[in-house]
Amino acid sequence: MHVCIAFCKNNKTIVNYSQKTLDKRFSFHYYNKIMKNHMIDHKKSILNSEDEVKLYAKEFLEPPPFLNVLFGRIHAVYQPRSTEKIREIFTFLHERNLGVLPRGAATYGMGGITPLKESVLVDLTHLDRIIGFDEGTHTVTCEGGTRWWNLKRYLNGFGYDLCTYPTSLFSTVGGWLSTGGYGINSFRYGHISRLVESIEVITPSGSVLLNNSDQRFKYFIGTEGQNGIISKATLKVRQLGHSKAFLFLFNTASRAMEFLGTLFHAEDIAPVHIAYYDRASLSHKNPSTNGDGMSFPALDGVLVVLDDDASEHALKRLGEVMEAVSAHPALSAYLWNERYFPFSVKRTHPYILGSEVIIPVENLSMYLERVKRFSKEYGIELSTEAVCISREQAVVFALFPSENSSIVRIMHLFISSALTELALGCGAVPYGMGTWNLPLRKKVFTRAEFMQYRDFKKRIDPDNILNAGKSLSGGSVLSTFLRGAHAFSGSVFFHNYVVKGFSRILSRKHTVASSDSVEPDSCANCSACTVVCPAYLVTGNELVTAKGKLMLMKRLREGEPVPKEIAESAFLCLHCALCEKVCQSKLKLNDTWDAFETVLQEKYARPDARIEAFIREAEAHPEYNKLLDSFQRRSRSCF
Amino acid sequence: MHYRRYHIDATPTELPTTRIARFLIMRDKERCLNCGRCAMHCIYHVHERDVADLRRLGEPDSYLCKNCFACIQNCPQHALTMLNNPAFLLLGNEYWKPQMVATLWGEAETGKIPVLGAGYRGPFRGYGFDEIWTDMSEIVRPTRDGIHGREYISTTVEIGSKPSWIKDFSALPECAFQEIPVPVLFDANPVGLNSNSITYLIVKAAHELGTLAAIDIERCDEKLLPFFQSLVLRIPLTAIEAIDEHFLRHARFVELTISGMLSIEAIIPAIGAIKRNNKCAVIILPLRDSSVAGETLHELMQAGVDVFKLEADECGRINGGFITDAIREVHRKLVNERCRDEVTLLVQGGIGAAEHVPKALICGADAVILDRSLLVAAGCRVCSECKLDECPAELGTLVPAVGVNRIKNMTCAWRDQLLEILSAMGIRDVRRLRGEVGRAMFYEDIEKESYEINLRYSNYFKYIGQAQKQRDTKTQKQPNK
Repeated sequence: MHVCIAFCKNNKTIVNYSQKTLDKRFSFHYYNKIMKNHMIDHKKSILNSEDEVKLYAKEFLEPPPFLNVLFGRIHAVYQPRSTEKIREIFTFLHERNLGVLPRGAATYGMGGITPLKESVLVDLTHLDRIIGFDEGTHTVTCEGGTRWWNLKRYLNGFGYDLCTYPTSLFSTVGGWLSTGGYGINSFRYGHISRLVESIEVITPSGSVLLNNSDQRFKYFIGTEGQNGIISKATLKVRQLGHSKAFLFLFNTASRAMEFLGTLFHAEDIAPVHIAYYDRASLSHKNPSTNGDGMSFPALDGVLVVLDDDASEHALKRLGEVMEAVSAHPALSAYLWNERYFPFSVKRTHPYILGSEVIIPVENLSMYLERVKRFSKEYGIELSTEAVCISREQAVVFALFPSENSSIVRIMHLFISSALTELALGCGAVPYGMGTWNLPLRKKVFTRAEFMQYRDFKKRIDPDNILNAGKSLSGGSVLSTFLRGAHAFSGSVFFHNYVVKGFSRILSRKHTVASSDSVEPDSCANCSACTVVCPAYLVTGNELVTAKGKLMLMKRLREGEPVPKEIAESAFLCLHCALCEKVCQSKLKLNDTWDAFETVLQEKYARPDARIEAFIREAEAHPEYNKLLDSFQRRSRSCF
Repeated sequence: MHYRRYHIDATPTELPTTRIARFLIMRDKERCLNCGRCAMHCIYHVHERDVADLRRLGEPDSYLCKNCFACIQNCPQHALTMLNNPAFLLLGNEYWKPQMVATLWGEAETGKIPVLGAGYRGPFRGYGFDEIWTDMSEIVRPTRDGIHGREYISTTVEIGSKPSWIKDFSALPECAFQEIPVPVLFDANPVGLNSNSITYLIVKAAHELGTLAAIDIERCDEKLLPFFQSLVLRIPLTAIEAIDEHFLRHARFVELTISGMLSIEAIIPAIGAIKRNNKCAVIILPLRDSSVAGETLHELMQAGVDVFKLEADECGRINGGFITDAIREVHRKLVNERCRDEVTLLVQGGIGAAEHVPKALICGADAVILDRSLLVAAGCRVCSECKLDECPAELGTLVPAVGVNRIKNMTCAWRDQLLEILSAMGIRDVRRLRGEVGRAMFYEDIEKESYEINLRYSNYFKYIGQAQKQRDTKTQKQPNK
């Protein structure tokens, strides 16, 4: 409601309306009208229907519904196509006392775009021009919304490659710089900030171009967009190399850890990437779920990736000395290729929860043992995966399947927090904070550091527009609640008697999703389908992508009212099946669309005129034709 | 006087039976993105979006494919493949090649000059009609630009005998010749087929085109009476006496069919009997042998024969050689007898493509008679044995209007191609093409000029092989630089 009053102050024309009329007229439509009056922009830049807002604000981890009361509302999605527009939106929203939630591909698992205040979601994925590659300095410059996948393909065209990139390859450059930073090849190249030459940041007090030696540089890397929006970045790149993966299998986790220790000290081996997979996570990655064909043996594995032939011999000998079982080269190559699909567990379990922490390598063995005990006590199937980011540290993902029902999810959230707590006991730090890890702030920042960061935020964003309520500003209802819940769940009594007991009962009736019908919740929100979707290229709206349609499907299934115009966008599809090919949850999407369309057709008629307009627009669309050309070049190069 | 420029109206008519495509275009649905690139690039409408659901592409219509590969090269997913249709390759026989049949079908369907896409990769010389290259030296003259040209090109020919000089003007109307607007006549009982419906549609087409159709006298029923003026009555020599006088009095053209040896003694009374009833009747005499002596031909003309019809089988075979050689032989004999302009020379057999008409005329014929090509236009697949009951093209039950339209379409396309060739040669009247061997090149002659011997078919290849070997040994001796 206070938003509405804020409007009244700034717009004389509506001051005369009575409060009642205002209530009635306070709608998204009205909001949009005002926004349009103030800003001259492309007509597609503002998405304000309820469904669109829900879709764009959808994240990997969906909070239980009862938490909704603690959230602020997202009023609209704004899609700037130039940096000037971002500056404009800052002024505009500041006048109206609304917050800004910058969003990349929404693949962050920790609640990166959870609204803690009334705000507008700024979708930066349309700010995706690749400005150029400089062969002299080996750097590439691109806008913040460029997706790593596109950047990688672009560089490969020049015979170059990214040094390090996120496992969610379909996320954006700005997004990863602001949140994660450790990914594939981090073992050799370290954190992404070491590879950034310069960034251009847009802050509420103006835009700045920062060199990596600048003192302010660190305030924008890994701070989850609380200080500014990264609108441009220059990254160091490397020449395209040939990488070869080797998977070594061990009977026990401790043997694997021993192998890792020896590998770190071997001077004649220079790996690019090292990752550990326990047997559960390997089984989730099996090429086929029915057990026929090639599959991983029930052993713990260490994947070592090399890019030179010199280390290969030494590595093989080391494997022999450590009595490791060398996996079939095809399996190794398959696992290496699976690096882009970290949530392959979603294929069998639509609902998953877990924790992601950075842990010292020497404690990894202890941690794994504790986790094993933990999973037994709670009766959950944990799968662990560790990516070594240096000789000292590793990023560990521990995932376990959850269920749709609300109570189970709440219980599982407690387990999840206990799991993180367990890791912290082993000397770990949370990988990121987002919203859900807010109570763990003290583990990430020391007090002095925190004060320093907070002061900077105050200086640069005095009105607290950007990501209000997150780690550097605090003071939101939700963060207080989470802190309370965290303290409560930490109590020994609660855990030993309530959660464990409950969880054991649950584990008896654990169900596995059938592979025949597509479960909308199986969507891992990885946004791979968005990148390849030709319809998305044309419309620029995620509603037409697989992710959007799965959400529509869910909403219709739950009996929620969906406006005709929104539902119709599900028909804007070429049935190219590209989404099915890239889907990391391996959903049978193309058949699902046919079935979904029949359902929609009964409820709403098929919008033939709109479809025709869409087809004509697509066929003439330059971006669409560029995409097709790139396919053609790729397939021709096979000959 | 009413003058109307001769024109054939083409009515696009599809075959009611399944059409056999030359190339099969296959779409891999697993790979296809429905991107529409193929539909964008195909100018022949093989690929179109599905009318029922525009987001998907419809099944490719292979029949329209002209083998240009545009869709295959432009498919970003390599989802399209093309292959020779095995059913297509089984069409026809050694003379009526599948391509010939398909071209005829195309012409008969659209009435347009065929387009064959992907260029011509050779060989640049075949056998039969393909041994002749026509002169195209005037191809760049816009005023004589074939079917679109401003100058009129005549395709009219006279069938019958003309006196060398006019003796008596009053006798002119009695001259035994008729003009037809195209140098193409039809055989209404092609390849000995006994089917009243087919005969009917050929006769009707001939009538509408203003040309003639030859018909066996016993097949001439009441239905054909409206087209009587377009008929050539084929009467066995022995049966002349038994024919109703009424028929003979009104017949414009009479063809005497002869079984056994040709004897002037038997022919003279028969011709007398016809001419007695109808002075203007044109007498056509079939020749199954081109080795007839020139003197005999002259005598036959003096006996009253107006038209000689050189008759080969449907594959163009006549006394052990090909029809082109036979035409040239008979033509030369008539020229030597100095009576070529007084008589008409028709040719039947092996005419299966548009370019065969000008080539036959260059060899010395005045006009050609079509037989098998008419059936092909109506949908015939040139099976080895013709059985109307089991006809795969269902010719026996063909709707007459479809057949008539398709024959007219084919004639239209052929005439247009004839006009194109004439204009490219700089000739404005098809009658000037007759016997103009100077306006064409014959493989045989070129070979003689080049090698001073007539090697003809097989020897030629032997020679080429030897020449190649010699060249190879020469190049081997020279050290590579």
